[in-house]
Amino acid sequence: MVDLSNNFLGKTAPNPTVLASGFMGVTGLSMASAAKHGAGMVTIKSLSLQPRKGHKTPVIVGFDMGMLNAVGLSNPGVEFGVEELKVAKKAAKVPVIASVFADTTENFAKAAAAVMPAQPDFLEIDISCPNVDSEFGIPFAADPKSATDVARAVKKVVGSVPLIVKLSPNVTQIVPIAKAVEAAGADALNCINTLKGMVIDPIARRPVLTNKFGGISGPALKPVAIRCVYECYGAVKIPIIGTGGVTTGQDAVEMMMAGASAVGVGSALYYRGLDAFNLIATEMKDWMKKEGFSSPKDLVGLAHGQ
Amino acid sequence: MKLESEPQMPLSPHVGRAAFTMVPIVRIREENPHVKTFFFKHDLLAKPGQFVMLWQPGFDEKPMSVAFSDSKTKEFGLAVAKVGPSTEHLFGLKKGDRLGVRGPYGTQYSLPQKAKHKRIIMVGGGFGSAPLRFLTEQAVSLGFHVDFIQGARSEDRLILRKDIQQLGAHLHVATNDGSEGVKGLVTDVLETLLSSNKGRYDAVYTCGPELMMQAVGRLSEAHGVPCQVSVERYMKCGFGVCGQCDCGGILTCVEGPVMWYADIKKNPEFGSFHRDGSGQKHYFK
Repeated sequence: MVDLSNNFLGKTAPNPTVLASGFMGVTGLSMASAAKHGAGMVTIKSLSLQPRKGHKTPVIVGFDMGMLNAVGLSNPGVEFGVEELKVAKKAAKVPVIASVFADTTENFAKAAAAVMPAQPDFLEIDISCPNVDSEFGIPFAADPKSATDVARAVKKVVGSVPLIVKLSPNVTQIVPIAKAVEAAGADALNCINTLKGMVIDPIARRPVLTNKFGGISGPALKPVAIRCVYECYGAVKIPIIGTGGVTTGQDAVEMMMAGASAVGVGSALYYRGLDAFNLIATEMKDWMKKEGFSSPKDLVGLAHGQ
Repeated sequence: MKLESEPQMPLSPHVGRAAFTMVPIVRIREENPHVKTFFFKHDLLAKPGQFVMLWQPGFDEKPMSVAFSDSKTKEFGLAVAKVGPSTEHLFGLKKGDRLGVRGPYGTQYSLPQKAKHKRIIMVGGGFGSAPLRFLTEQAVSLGFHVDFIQGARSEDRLILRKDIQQLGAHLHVATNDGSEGVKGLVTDVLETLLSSNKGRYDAVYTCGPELMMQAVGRLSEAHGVPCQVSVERYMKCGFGVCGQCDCGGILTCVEGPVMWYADIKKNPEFGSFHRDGSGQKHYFK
């Protein structure tokens, strides 16, 4: 018998899939819809202290092996976002992950404190968005010291709510960053955010996205994410949400074998529609049954030491 | 009730749907002082009610509903109203200029499969008549009698009247100021049609301001006639990932824009508020 229910830092989810931040999670009811369609946990689109419109369109475009986006962290601000989180907590019936970002360490702590009244099951900090360099400078996730400062400051205000730090693949070495945030008190990692890229339209003779650069997601990102999760799993003790290009149940199995305890899903919504979560979970179950596994936890890190 | 939507994308390789195709403008037709129809050379394969994302390189990208899509001429057309900087920029373009298009996206209007009466009504408010012209074309070719109610502020805001009449639809015009047709609202005309032909219509299709569609839906329902509406929300991706167009737990870009009034009337946000590009709420007035 295969039971997909998955324990992540003491919370039980119906399966290992997680609605990744930035997908569908603009509203509480949308997060609930993702849960209804099979998401094991759901993450809100990252909130900041002030409302943000994001970048000018086009902000997302497909290419043959994935998609590129630079939405630019649009969000209604924590004041309104915290209400959406409350809606999600009530309606989603699965663990809810709050997500915040900010321009300074101090504002990270303020934004984190502002979402606490919604009593999220977890708090994720997005220190790794690749699309706001011109505004915010180099992401906190690019430097162990900056990443440590943010994680430490946020940890102080979240009380017993576990802290997840979302790391960036846009670094020469991810392991020192992972170790640094673990030492700073992070309870879990989310590996990874999108990989910085560009798509140019030859006829238009210019980059397609108004922001020029964007973050690669979808199938093209998967091997990068698998590698990052694999490297971090070998270096830290805290659990990892593996995010990047997971589109099928077999992709999810691969991600867990690399070391993920839960699996982020986002661009798969495009490839497989709203049912992506259900499809991935069902395919995982079928695969596990065929291969003789009974619980997702038995897959975690299995590719290590082989 | 289930709407027919685009077939599920094959897993890989996925071709084109989220990427832009650069298409040239082949013709620009002036509809009135505020609206132009832009025709592009491209076999879009759109169905009535669907929309595309139109990219003006160096400017921006906007969702647009499809007014014409013809596989024989391999052309599609968008009836565009000058309402802001983006459409103003578009109005400055000329034949031969190339724009990016991706789509078509979203659900389509569905004509009754087993129509008892073969009679339907379109209710277009303002620029909402554009996608309904496309639906009228499909309906007429399938032998439907179409009553097309078009409402606008004034005569100079009416669009595509000739196209609609040439298709053989019966056009009924309502203007707020009485400069053309009935002085009043589209719902006044709809009420007259539904009561004077009781039990003789199969369905009502509407597109326009949300509160107008809500009134049209209510009225149709009161007369026992099913109604489809086209819900507009702020869109960024168009293919169901970004979540910006959420309407009370429904992703308008993939679960809409076309929905049954019977379903959407239960939605807590329909007819109440919409969200802007940041996600902040704005209430309908």
